[in-house]
Amino acid sequence: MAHALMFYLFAALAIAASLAVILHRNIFKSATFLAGMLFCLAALFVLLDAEFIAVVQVLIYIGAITILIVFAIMLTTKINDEHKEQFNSQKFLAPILALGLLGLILTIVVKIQWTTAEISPVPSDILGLIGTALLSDFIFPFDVVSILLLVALIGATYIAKQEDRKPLVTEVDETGEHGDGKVKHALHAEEVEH
Amino acid sequence: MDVILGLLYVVILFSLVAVQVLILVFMERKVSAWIQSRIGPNRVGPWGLLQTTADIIKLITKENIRNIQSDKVIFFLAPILAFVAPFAGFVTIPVAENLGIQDLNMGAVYVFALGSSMVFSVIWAGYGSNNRYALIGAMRSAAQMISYEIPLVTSVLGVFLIAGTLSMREIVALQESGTWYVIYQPLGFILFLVAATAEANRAPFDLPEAESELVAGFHTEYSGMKFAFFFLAEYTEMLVACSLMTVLFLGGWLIPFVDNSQIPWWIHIFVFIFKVYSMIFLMMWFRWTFPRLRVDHLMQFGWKVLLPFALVNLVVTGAVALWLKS
Amino acid sequence: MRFLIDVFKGLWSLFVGLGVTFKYMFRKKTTVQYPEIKKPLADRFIGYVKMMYETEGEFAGHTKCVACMACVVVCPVSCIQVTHDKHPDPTKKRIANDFILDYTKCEFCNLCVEACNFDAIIMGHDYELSFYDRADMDMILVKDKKYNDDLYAASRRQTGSEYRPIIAPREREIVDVINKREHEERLKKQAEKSPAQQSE
Repeated sequence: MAHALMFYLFAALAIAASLAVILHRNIFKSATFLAGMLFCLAALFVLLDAEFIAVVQVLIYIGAITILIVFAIMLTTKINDEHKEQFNSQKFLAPILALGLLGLILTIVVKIQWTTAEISPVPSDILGLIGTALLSDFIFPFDVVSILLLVALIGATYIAKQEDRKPLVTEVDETGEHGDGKVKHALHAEEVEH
Repeated sequence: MDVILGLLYVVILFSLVAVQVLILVFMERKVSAWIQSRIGPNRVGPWGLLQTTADIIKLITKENIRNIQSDKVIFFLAPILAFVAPFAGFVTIPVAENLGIQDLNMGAVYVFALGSSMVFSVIWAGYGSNNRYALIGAMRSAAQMISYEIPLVTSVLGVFLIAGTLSMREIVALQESGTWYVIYQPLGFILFLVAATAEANRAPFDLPEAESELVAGFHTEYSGMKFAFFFLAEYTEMLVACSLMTVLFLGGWLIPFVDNSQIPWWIHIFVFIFKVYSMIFLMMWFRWTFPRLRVDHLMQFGWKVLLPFALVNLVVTGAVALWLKS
Repeated sequence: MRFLIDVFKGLWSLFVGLGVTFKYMFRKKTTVQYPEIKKPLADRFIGYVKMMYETEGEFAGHTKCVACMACVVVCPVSCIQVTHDKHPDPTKKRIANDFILDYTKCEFCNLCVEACNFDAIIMGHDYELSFYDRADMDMILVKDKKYNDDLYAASRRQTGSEYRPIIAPREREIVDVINKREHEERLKKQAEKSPAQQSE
């Protein structure tokens, strides 16, 4: 009973936090709520006896990825503006579509006859099983992901080092949109990053 | 029933940790005094033992000052998370055989995970206090913590490879039949010591609170009880790091060259505490010997020295383990 | 390879540093436990102004100050006030009745001591200048004979001997040396002269 109660509590918290992520006006606080949401997910994993995944969730998602997001926020100028328009021109169309999708999923969930399986107890050597699975059955996706990360790393280094190789072009943007005399070169660098 | 038991554990653990921190602060002052040919605190109580108690009373009774433009909630949450994250790490640490709150089967990873969420408290403190020194200190601290986490975790992977388990209690038990892992993993031990010192934001890696540049780093705006919590957090983190070192490398509660099953459990506790305090003394010794690193040197050291050595250590350990197995 | 050598050299230097601090841990402590033990001060240390008293003769215990106002005139911050009475000694005209020094103003410049023609005031060796009340900072150096005696006893207690008005011991030493040398030279000249006179 208490178990189920905790589950629903954390699930509700996760939903509330993820709503806050998109609705909060302060982007730093959005990142904070994201961390909270991920923590709630970790709690859910613990309640489902998947402790290793919970711990890894905290280690990687909260400890690394959210921190990187916070760094990105802190290092980007003028992003933390609370008066910015939060929604774009499709703010009326998008909710309708999303609600439609939700309805679709709900009908499927309700209509399907869910069969219950006997839950086998979690083996004590779950780490060994995960490790063996990763390096035997799933070796190909594992390697692909590794190579993807490596490529991303090299790409990031390439972009970061570009400024060292090129002499800095101090050419003022002609469009005049950036009244503060933003440098054209910097604009290009931003485009490459995106 | 479980909830009450859990609360009881928390209260006991908290009081134990608080007392330890009082002792540690006193010890830090004495060690620093000895290294600098001074006497150190000796006025309050016998041999100055009550000095830190007096300090804590002062901090508790102090006024709580908050910058009016600071972010109320985040400012309030930061010191709490800063303390709770390392404090929760004690849950898995076995002090003696069958004496420890919970033995998780991924104990070590759990402690590292908590340590990594510590970074958030620092960022919150920096952002919440609306002070540029605090923010610079927080960003530096966060950058330092996430980059030193990688060598920290990589350096202990060798131990896990040899032990074949992540459970703290099993790792200690394995060291009973064999030797301490510091013999097998001397490089890993040194790397872990360095990375743990950096992780706990202690000198020579105490850039986030470099007084000459940043006033007091991320806790510049904090006063009174909230500051005390940051203080508590630093020493708790040190305790956790040294306990981890003791468990993973120094054989936990075991006494070498002796049949440990014959020895009563309370001697095991003393042995464990002695080992932890020796490591803490080493960290304090570092603090009062080495000058602070510069920011770029810090990052260079983390990525270009610690990480390659940790990786080499891991690869060599893995190769040797494979060779011994076949 | 160079990198490895650098790393090991760095590591070794760390151990050397640790060794140095470890040695210092067992050195003799340099701390002076202040309220109980006080470090001896330099001769020319300037503490706060002290009054000097006659030590012998009929008027022992009376202040040496004759209220000539030289110090009042010379004080750059006007922190000295002196009132006077008739001196009991018929050879002298006046004696200080109140000698009040406002320590909120005094800047320890030593000018009053240099101006004094009677060695009546000196800069003492006391440095514990904290008060609970601002009114206490108007220090009354001469009030009545009893007060004078107490102050005199206290001053003797502190140094074990009478205060000598040492303004600049180094300079005085040099002057002493020069005087001595001149005196010796004079004696020598006289000695040279006298045999010559004798021979004549």
